[in-house]
Amino acid sequence: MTPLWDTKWFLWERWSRRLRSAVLWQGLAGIITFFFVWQVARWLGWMVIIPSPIELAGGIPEEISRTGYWQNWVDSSRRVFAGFAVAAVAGIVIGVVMGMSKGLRATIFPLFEVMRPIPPLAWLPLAILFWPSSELTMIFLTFIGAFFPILLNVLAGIDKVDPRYRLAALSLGSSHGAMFRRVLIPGALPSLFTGLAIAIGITWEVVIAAEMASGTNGLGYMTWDSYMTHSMIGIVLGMLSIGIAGMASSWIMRVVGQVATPWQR
Amino acid sequence: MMTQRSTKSYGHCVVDAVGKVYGATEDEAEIVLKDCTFDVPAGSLTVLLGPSGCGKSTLVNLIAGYDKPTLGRITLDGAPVSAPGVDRIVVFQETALFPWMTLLDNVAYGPIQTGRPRREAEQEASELLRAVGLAGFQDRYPSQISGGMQRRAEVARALITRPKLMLMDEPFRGLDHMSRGLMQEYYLKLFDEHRTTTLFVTSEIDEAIFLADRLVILSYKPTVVQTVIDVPLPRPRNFQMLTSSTYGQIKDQALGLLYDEALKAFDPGKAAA
Ligand SMILES: Nc1ncnc2c1ncn2[C@@H]1O[C@H](COP(=O)(O)OP(=O)(O)OP(=O)(O)O)[C@@H](O)[C@H]1O
Ligand SMILES: [Mg+2]
Repeated sequence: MTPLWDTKWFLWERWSRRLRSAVLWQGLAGIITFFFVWQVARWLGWMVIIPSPIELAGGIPEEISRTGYWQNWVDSSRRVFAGFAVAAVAGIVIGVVMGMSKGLRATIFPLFEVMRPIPPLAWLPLAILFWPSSELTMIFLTFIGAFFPILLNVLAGIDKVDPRYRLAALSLGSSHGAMFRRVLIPGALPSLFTGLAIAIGITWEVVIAAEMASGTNGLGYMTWDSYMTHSMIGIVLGMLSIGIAGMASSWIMRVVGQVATPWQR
Repeated sequence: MMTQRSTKSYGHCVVDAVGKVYGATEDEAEIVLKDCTFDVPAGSLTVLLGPSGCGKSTLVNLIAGYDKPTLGRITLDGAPVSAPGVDRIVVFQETALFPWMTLLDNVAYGPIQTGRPRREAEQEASELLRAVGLAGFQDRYPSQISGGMQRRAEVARALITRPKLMLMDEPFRGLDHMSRGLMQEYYLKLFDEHRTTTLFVTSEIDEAIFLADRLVILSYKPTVVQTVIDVPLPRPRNFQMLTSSTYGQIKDQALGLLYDEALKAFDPGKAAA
């Protein structure tokens, strides 16, 4: 038994355990049961307006191959990404500044406290009037949706940094810059990624609603357009696509977060 | 060994009639330290021994410059202490290694901040980590090593800055009995090599006597210095000394004092009466 063999055996054991793990199969069983019950309900003659899983399986490939389906993904993703990116930069910069300076915090915080409870969609009328294009309007709304959760989590993250780390850093002779880059920022990172994960979920919600209200393309518009043209399969496909897009975005955020904070295991 | 010890002529810390009151208003005011006077001779390992909650960490914070005394003054080699500085370093009660840095980065952080070239700092950090028995672990994060290893890494992070005064606040608290004994031996070996003036805080009497050149025994709140006892056991120390008669006498004396104070800690009403 060489050590190498041991390692391989261990890795294999780990994989096979994962495959045998109940969690994986339970998840699959849940999804299969869901579609099965849905199908049975249709067979029993209930919920006739909604297409059955079998009809969906037949209709979706055709729907996907229609021109413009994948373009809708691109259009929505672009809006989500643009709004999210601007919100992340603004939220991090303003959050860090507020976290470092008590004075600025006292000045800015009350203003934000009033603006935060306004739902992003309540900004729609004003945004339509203000921004020259509907594209900018939609990006602006996703920005609003993502900005506050990011800002608040950056602030909370900086506040939560254990005071002993700051004190230790002081005794170790930290400059202002190092205190900031090597202590406060890494200390706040886990909380920042919590904020980013929440924010990316919200941007999808907002972009879909914004597209339904004022878009001419994108997954939200596609879903709404399917309703206007009485395409049941289109509606369900739109919803599924949105669900998958949101799930994939959260998953990417989680992976990025894990890579950026390797000490958290 | 003894000659080496007398050559260290810095790190002499004087705590002079220091008092500390917490709380802003008169109602909230809590007198923690009433009148504490003692000194930490240069090159010595002075142990601060007192019941839990008597204000040992408070004293450490004051000497480190993290907080200011309400009364009295603290000097290090004659200069008043007013803010944190690189001449004093604290090893905290629970680990304060930066969780986001590897052990190597943690230990090399101090010297890099004070202007040493990175390569040189990492070289020395690596050697120090080997010296505390963490040779293969320098790329691990603190959360990936055991509690005892974290304590050693933190001692290395403190030693590398060559402070005038090291403040160790119950560094081995929370370790099991076995690791604690090993850590004490390990730490003494390091101390014999470096002879950095040290104030070591503990509430464990055996640990105190085993390590100390002199013992500063505190009362319970409001805290005063009860007694200072010199521990004339030779260095290097070993566990056989724990059964010597000198050790027994000192322990009897200290236990008598501590026992009364520990009782007060459980019954504060009586202490006030
Ligand atoms: N920042 C603070 N504000 C108010 N009171 C405090 C503060 N820090 C400490 N105290 C009080 O001072 C007393 C002494 O605390 P300290 O942490 O110094 O004790 P200690 O001797 O280190 O105890 P332990 O052995 O449990 O670590 C406590 O009773 C606590 O209530
Ligand atoms: Mg303490």
